[in-house]
Amino acid sequence: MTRETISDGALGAKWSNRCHHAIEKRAMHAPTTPSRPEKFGKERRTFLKVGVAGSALLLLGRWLPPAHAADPVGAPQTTFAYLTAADVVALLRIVPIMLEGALPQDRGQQNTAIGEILRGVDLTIGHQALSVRAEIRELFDVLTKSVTRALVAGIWKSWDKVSEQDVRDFLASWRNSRLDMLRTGYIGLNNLIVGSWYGNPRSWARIGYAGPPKII
Amino acid sequence: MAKPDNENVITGSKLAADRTLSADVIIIGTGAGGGTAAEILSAAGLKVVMLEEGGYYQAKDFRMQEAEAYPALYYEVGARKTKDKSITILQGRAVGGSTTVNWTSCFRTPPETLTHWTKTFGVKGYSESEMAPWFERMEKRLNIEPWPIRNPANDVLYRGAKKLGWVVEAIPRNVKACRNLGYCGMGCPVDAKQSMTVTTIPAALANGAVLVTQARAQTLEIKGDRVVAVNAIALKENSVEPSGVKIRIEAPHVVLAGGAINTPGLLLRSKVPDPHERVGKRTFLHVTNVSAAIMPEKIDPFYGAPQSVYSNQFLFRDGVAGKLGYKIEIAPLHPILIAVSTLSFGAEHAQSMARLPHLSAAIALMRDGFHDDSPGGSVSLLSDGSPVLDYPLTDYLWDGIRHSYSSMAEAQFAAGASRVVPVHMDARPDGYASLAETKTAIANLSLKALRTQLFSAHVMGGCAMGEDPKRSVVDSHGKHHQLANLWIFDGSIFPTSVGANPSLTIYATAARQATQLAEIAGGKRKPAS
Repeated sequence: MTRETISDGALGAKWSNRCHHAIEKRAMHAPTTPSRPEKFGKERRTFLKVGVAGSALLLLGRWLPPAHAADPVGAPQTTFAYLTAADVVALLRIVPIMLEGALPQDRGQQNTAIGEILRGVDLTIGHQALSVRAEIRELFDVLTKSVTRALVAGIWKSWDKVSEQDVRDFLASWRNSRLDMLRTGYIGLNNLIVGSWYGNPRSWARIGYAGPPKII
Repeated sequence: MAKPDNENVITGSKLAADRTLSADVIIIGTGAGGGTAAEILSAAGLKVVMLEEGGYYQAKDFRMQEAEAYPALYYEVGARKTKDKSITILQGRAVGGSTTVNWTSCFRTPPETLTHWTKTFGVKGYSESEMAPWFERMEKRLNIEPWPIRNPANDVLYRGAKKLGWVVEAIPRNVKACRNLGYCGMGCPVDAKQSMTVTTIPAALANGAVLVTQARAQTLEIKGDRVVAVNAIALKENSVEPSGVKIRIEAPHVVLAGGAINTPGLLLRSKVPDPHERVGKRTFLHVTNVSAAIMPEKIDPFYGAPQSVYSNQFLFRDGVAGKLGYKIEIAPLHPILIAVSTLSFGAEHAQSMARLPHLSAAIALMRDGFHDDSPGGSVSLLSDGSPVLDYPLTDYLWDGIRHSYSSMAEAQFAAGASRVVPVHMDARPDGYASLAETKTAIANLSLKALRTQLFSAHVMGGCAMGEDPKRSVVDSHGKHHQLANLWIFDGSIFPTSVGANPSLTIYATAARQATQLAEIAGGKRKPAS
């Protein structure tokens, strides 16, 4: 499935609509201050007003070249069925923060674990319904296109340049957002990443799980 | 992983060319409803073709690994979502449907529910005494008996409920020579679970039935007041993408048993007559919230029969049609399941995960659909034709959820919990040290979508049965009101939620309906008991 067909899909449009909303909110409020919920009618009017500008912004986001993937150190030398090079660059920053305290301390083992997590994420996406895959694609597009990354995720540098604290702030702002769309995005990222790691037997010793019993 | 073809099993993903099949009865879906019906109809001498979206997996394939089981055996990797993504639905997608992955809890329909269906929804023939023989029959067929062993996680609920003087009972399970492993949700590796894959489906195959796996029923072809064919598409090995091969099946009778999301979806895609717009309406979930007890002792909540005790103390807390009541049970906890239900990140998430061996997770299943303010959800189609359930979260529902957080915490502290965590994004990740503190926190929780972790393992309704076509999709026998040869034998026919894990209600209603269909469809032999 190509990026174009996904972006043009109806579900892509759903995420885009939610993004308009988020962009509008981000434009009106400081990026780290959650906005107050407003009455539906007012929200709707504002939404319609900025809808056209939002669409243009999103369209621009789609036509921008993919985020630059410059073979970052530690990038797994694997190709993925669904994750793009730009997605991988973002995930290489997000995964160690999402799983801070849960990954092996040893640098080499940690890199191996992160590589396996990305493979797990990719495999999970491949077992999702096509409509869900399209939504995950939209999520990663938002995170990796520079305009939406900045306006929706509040990440103003390219992913390979962000600090650990930038990533923590981003995850916290989406998790605690008053916008359903951003919390949905956070929960999606959380579930893909933590689901992938804790399905891996390497994660079990730390949490006191000895694995399935032997059947005699 | 999928079972190799034999003469009666056609693996959709391996088909190289389009196929046409014919039968006396087509059954779409092989879960509790479809599996039960397949055995009865085939035993009556009718030629049955079963159509299943998922793959055929058996004991040797089940390795007790979440990372393998969820993608292979569940819709959306175990995370099918409602439209706004606020509720995660655990629904099986495999031969045997959810019976392949359920936690084996089997309850008779509460008599209050049967009475409500009769009095409020005009359902006929569903009194407690009329249903009793069908429950008995399926209890015998699937070896359903109360399970005497409580693992430490279930014992927490048992001790707490006993101490508080609540009703608490052992759960009847459909198992034979169960080894108490605790991995029912990943497929039983020792064939102890009496799922459809080890009971009715092999029996139907032995009776000459044909099983087509990894094939999705796309549309019903309708002429006049009859369904003349089912058009299906073969799927690739992952049971997701179409392989490009088409399958057409013709039969004088068609039974839908895809469950309460897929069955309305197929009716909507097929534009089946729906003059009163009932299809997909009033779909129920037993919306479920979670309270985690941190126990001083080791619990190891991943081992042992997942569910062995329940409390109905609050099931009818305000009568049948009053404030929302709920059933309290225990959920098994394995690493992925708890990781994706813990919505913190970084150190907080890591610390929560490290508590796993000391956790006992209680769940409260909301008995939705009995009150005017509990209309459930509705199924509609996405632009690609796949079904999606929109389930609005109402104040009525939140009231039941808030009440149940307190009840579960009360039982957990009574059982000796050190701390209790109401599973919610705003609760302290390490919970609260006393009941009073927990109750204060619960009173202040912002109960809203995508801040409150909500689940369901039970899809019901959406094609309600009843004698009034204005209010229902099928009659009390499961026959469609508008189409003469279309039947629905799954949980979608329930006018409300069940108020108990629904598998036995589906087994019993399907057994009864299939027995009647066997006569109508000209079955020769008396159905086996």
